Amino acid sequence: MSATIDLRGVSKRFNRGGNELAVVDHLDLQIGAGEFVALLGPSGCGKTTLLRMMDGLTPIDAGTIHIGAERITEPSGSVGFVFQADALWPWRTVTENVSFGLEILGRPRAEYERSARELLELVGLHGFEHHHPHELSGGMRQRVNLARALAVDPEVLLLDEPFASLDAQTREVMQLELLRIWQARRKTVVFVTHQIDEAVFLADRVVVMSARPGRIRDDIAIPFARPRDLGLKRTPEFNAVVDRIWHLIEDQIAGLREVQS
Amino acid sequence: MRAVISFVVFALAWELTGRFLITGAYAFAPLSVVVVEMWRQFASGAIFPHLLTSGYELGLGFGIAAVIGIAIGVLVGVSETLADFLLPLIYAANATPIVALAPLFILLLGVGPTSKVVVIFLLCYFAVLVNTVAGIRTVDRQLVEAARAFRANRLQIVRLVMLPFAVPFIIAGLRTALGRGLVGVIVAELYGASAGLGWLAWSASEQMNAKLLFVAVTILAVSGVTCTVALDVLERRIAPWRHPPLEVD
Repeated sequence: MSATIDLRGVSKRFNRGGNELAVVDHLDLQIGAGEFVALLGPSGCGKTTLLRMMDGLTPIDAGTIHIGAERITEPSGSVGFVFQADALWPWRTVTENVSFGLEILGRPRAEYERSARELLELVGLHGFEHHHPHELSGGMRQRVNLARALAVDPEVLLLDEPFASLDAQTREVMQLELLRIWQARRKTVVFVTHQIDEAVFLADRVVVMSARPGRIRDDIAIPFARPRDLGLKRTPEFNAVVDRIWHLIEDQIAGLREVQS
Repeated sequence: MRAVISFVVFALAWELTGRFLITGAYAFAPLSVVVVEMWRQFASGAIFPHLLTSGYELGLGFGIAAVIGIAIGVLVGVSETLADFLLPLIYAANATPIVALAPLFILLLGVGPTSKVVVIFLLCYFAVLVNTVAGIRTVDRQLVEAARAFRANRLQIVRLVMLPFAVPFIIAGLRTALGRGLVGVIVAELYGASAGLGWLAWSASEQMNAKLLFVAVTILAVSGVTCTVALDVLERRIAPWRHPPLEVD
């Protein structure tokens, strides 16, 4: 199951020390059901804020956000959110972390324990059901984080730089794992990252954001066939796309530096 | 192992001090004499009324303080408004040496156990309260956020996120409270009582009976250590993530 995401005229202002700051400004974005979209931009461009607004975690000042037919004003049952810092509850075992969402929905214990077992199998954590998060590596914790978001069987999966704190090798393994899981479950995915190669490798579409105010600057279709493997990253075609996007945002990063200095 | 060595050295030093350094029988007693006296007190049953009285005072005062302290602590920790009103007052009360009020409560409530229960309750209550509030208020926002993303309501967030997060803080509060409570028992009984370990220590010193005084103090020390260890075990059981298992090599 997957749903469309439809953002129209979405704006958000933050008040920082008396200054009104437009973080996101009249932003329109349509994402098709089952599509994998990467939101790319420099830090501070409002991409995380945009993602949080899609789950109703941050209220919007203007515009509308729809997931399927549902208008989002508060956290929705049709969305799974994967946080950047894994944000697992340290006192809960892996199974208890994964089944939290179903527990909140009041499902019977037998059901959510079975669902947790299946999901842990899917993310490759079979045998770690009764471990606590502190006993796991960073990559394993992000697998739990992913399984937890999938547990409520959401139609949309939102991921906020989920692999940012992982080392380079683990990051590549997790990118492949995410693609494998996405192929198995076919959710609509929005993946926030500031790494161009990660965005190009994972997504059907890379949406490039500009900063202050956050707007969509470019929307690039990624033509590579699926399933993809890491070999793709060594091809000239891949690097050509990465280069093109790099040039698109280069001037903007330079512009940011001027503003800051 | 090193702890055992420390204890043995301490016991030896105690014994030798009593044998050779301070030999006046009414000022000090060597360990062996204290042990014999302890045995005699337990065998004759003379110690039990004192144990029961002090145990009752501490148990009731500490128990009520723990329950109410955690309950009010969660409320104050969750509500910004309540915290704004009450926290300055709570911090002030926590910093007040409440033991100094013991004579007042004995005057008001008599020399029986009730006045001690009240003093011990107040001593313990603020320690539990302050730590519970700290635990709830320092909760990791990300953990709350994650629960919110799964559509947990306010009550569920308190029960499933804030309270478990605060457990190590609450146990730290209970540990402090217990230490204060033990002091409270003794001091409150010194001001006026008819039974209890504090009263026993005081009356033993009035009679220059050093060995009996040390019996009372030793029992208090052992109870203190036992309770602290019990709280550590409790923490390990309900908050195992605070104690990552040691690497075995």
